[in-house]
Amino acid sequence: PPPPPPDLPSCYYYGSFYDVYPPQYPLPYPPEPGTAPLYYQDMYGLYRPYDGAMSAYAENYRCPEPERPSSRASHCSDRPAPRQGYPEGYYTSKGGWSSQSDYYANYYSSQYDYGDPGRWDRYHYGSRFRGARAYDQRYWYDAEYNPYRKEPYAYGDRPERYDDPWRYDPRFTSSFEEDAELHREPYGEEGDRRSVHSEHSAQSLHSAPSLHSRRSSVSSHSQQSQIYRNHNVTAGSYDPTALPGSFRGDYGYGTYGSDFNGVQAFPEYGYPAGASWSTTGAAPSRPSSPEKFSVPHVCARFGPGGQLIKVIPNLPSEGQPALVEVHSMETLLQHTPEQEELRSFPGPLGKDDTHKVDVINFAQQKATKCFQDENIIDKESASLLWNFIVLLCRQNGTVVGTDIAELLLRDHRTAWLPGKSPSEANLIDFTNEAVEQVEEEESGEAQLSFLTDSQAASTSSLEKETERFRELLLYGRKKDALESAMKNGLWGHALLLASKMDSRTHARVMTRFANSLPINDPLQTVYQLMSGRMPAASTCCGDEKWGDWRPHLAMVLSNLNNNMEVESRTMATMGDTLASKGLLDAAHFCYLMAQADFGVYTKKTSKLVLMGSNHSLPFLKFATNEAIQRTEAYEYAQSLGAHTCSLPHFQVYKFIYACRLADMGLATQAFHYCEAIAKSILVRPHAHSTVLISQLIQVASRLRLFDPQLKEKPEEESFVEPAWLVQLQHVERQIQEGAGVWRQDGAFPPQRPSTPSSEVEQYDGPGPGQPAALSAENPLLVLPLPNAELSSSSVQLLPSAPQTFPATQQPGPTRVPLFPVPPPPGPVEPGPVCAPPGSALGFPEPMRPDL
Amino acid sequence: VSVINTVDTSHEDMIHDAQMDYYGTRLATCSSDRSVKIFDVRNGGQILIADLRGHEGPVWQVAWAHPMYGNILASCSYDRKVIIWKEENGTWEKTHEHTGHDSSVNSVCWAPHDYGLILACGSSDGAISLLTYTGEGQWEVKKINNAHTIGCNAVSWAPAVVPGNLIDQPPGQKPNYIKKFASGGCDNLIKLWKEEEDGQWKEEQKLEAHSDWVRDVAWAPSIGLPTSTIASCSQDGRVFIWTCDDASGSTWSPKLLHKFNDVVWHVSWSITANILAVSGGDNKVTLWKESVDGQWVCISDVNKGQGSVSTSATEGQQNEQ
Repeated sequence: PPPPPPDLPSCYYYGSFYDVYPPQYPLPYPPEPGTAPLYYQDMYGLYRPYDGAMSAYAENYRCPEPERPSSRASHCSDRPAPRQGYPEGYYTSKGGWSSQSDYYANYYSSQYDYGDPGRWDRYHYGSRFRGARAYDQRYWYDAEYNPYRKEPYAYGDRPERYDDPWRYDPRFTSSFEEDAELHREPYGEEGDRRSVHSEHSAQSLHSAPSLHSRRSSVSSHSQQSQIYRNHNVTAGSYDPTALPGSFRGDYGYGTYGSDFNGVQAFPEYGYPAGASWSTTGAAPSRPSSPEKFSVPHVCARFGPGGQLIKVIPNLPSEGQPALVEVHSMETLLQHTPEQEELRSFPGPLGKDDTHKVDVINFAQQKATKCFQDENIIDKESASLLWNFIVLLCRQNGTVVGTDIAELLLRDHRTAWLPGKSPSEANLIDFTNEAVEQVEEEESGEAQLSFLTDSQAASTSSLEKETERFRELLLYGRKKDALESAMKNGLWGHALLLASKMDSRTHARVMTRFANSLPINDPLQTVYQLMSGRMPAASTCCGDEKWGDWRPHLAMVLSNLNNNMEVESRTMATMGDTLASKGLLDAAHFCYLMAQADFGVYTKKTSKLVLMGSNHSLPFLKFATNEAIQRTEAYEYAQSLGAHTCSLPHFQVYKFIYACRLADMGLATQAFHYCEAIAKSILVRPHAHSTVLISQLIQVASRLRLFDPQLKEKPEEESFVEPAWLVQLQHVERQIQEGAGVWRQDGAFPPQRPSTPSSEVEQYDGPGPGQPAALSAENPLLVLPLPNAELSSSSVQLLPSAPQTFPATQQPGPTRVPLFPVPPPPGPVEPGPVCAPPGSALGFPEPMRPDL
Repeated sequence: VSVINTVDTSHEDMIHDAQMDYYGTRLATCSSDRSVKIFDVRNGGQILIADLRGHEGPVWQVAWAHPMYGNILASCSYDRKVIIWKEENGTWEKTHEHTGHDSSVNSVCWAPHDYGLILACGSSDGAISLLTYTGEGQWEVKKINNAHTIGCNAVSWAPAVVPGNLIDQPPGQKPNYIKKFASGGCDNLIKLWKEEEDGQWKEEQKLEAHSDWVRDVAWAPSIGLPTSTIASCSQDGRVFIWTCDDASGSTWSPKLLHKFNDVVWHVSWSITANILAVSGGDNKVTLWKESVDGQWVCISDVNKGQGSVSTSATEGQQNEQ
């Protein structure tokens, strides 16, 4: 017979070959899918015979071993009859194969004898060395040896299978002798492996140099695959050539190996094949289409409620149980630092669900820990943020500027005076006595001279200068008198006189007085602010030389008046300045005082996104659990006040936090978060991203069944989704059906303005959700006619009392300013589209009249 | 200690896959015994709901469709078939059989529900087929031939979420999603595919890092955080985490999670992709999480004896034999 085209990949070659001799093919391969069950009765039965077929085939033309069939049969004696019978069947039909084998033997030997170097070069060395050039040596090795290493998993006839999963593989036992044969027939086996390597390498090469060999194999590929497909049609789905991992590949070895590769492999490697293979554990080859798994394998997947599903790698055919374990992620991860961190926080925090003592304790611990954390640069400010939350909680969300000033100066009762070295006694004492003293002596020369560091102000000289001033005025020389007074520090006289002269002069005297103070004196800050200007401190603070920023902020906060715009801008600018110096926590404190809105991570103009976290950092570094916890604690503290308002942009982070909880196995807590977020969203759906709404629905609906509340309900009710989830889905549908319409609606203020405290009342009623209340509130939320099941469950949850607003509440503005404003004549800000974050910082006390 | 339920599936041969449904109440398993089984596992129970027969070879993988389409399960097998099963009036039945592959079908994965009912199937014949339900029991088939030389081992869909959308400002209009999925194969490659405007599937990216067959690929679910992530594992023992931060989704960079001493069979993401489960050839499952500074850390450290998912009873049995 004419030799086959030598460049055909073995598998295809065999594919076609098989086509030629279908009737000779062993009977146990059912020709049609219908008979497949027989065939598949035991998949191992399938492979063993194939192996047997392969080796027997090899034996046939190289090293016949007549005893084999029987010895194999005895090996398999513990197996069911069909499998035993199989090899027998094979051997009876073997005659059909022998002709092929002869042919191969001939072909093989002729190849071997020739040892045609040109051929090697072309088909083996060629691709190989090109490969070596194209890829570095290491890659080559990987490609070369990894297949060997892995083969024990794909094939059962290698020594390594003694080690592990293979001990259960029936093929294991069946191939005992084949190991022995390995040594007896090094050529055949060796050749097999080599052939695969070169095949593999050819396949791995994507570089141009190997184009030639690739092209040739590709063309043959298409040819052969054509045949192969035809064959499939005739042979039905159980065409062995199509069976991955076994026949096609294995079969190929014989051919391929006996073709040319086997010959080359030896000179190149120069070691005895059998021995080296048993040590490297190499297996026949990379088959061209393997079965996906031929050994038991562990398989882990996640379930939605904090479960880890794990397939136990057992082999039931060997009597082991076919088990799938469900593990609790909560238990698995209970000792991980992250889960501990998540568990330590009493969230989700709700005004009526959470006792403020829990939050206060948490915040206090965090405040203390700030001083122990080596990674925090500005420990005091980090601690300040937590202490601010503590203060807000203690005072039920309502603080006035002086409260904060006190907090700011709590551990900063003293501040360095400018221009003096710290070692000198040059402190301004900010204790209450000192402040009082300052107030008393505000216009006194002693105080001024002290502040201006003038040592000349003795009583005698003071009298003398006053005499001079008096004298000048006696003669009507007002301007000279004024000048003299200013020069000599008689600021009281100077100011009084100027105030009775023209306003320009008055302003000039005031300016000059102010300029006589050191520029970083907090007095400067307050005077500048009161003059309606932004204090210099706002752009200079945070600097080492400038001194502490806290007294300046405290000065602003303690002396707020109606000039809200400047004051707010001052504090925000102060925050910007501190942020530019890297003092992030300090900056955020200023932003909070300035009532800057919580912004968006991707928008770099946002002042703050999460409290105490830098949103220019990579996302994971930015959105830490602690930062989210801190912001939530702040949100909660705010909610304790009368002017509750959630932070719309922050809900996203609560959701991210909920997802972390869910993945760490804390499904119940995660679901609770979903509920809290949903309720916050439902108050003002239009303020929230549609992405958040749809993602929240997905996560919540998957966690829903892990809500312990469900256990309290009859089983049929477990299909009923909680009202808030139904509403959220309704909102989502509306968005999907017409985002435009929806947005337009959202731009209008609700018909009945939803003031924050009324929201809280609605939500913290008897049940987990009050859809009716919400529906009345927001026309968007009117439910479609609910089905019977739904309504029956919702009815129970409805609050019986009609919706009423506390008499004290003003309808309209939800924005409660930090600064006192006269009561607005009407709704000042229609449509609370974006609620201010710091609304709890109300300053109800009347301010004293200004200068 | 962490085991809350041990389901004895009574499969007669090794189990290849087990998947919880969307709500975590039902468990589907598939085995070399050619069957697919569904169990009700609520409250620690294990009630056999269905024993689905129809495959004629080992069943490699199962996949639950989103429940908005009903209770639908897909399975793929060595017999070159993909079967879609559906529960109608409490009974599970075969609703469709896809026989478009020339070799073992190794992986099935449902597209995000936003796209409709679309199933991707990867086969040893090197092709990937996409079945789209067009209504009235009809399934339209698209096929990507020669997707992976020698064979495709895994397919995994990209989530239908625009990266970063969650934390960005609310988008003005509904974004136009581009359907994408990842596949891994015997050519050691991971390939990313995307649907062109004309509905044709085109190779978008080739991710090269593995030096042996890619065993599994898992595109991380997304809630809309900025980074897109894909996990891949291989015969070479390596697990890579591929991330993409750019808006166009074209620049993927690999990070080696770990080099195991053995083949790695599976990678699987937790529901919101915070944790990756790696199933290795040593029959160990390890759990990994990205730390704040971007490093992947094993959070189920076997050595500490805590958090490890040991094979418990099974190991003992193996040792006896």
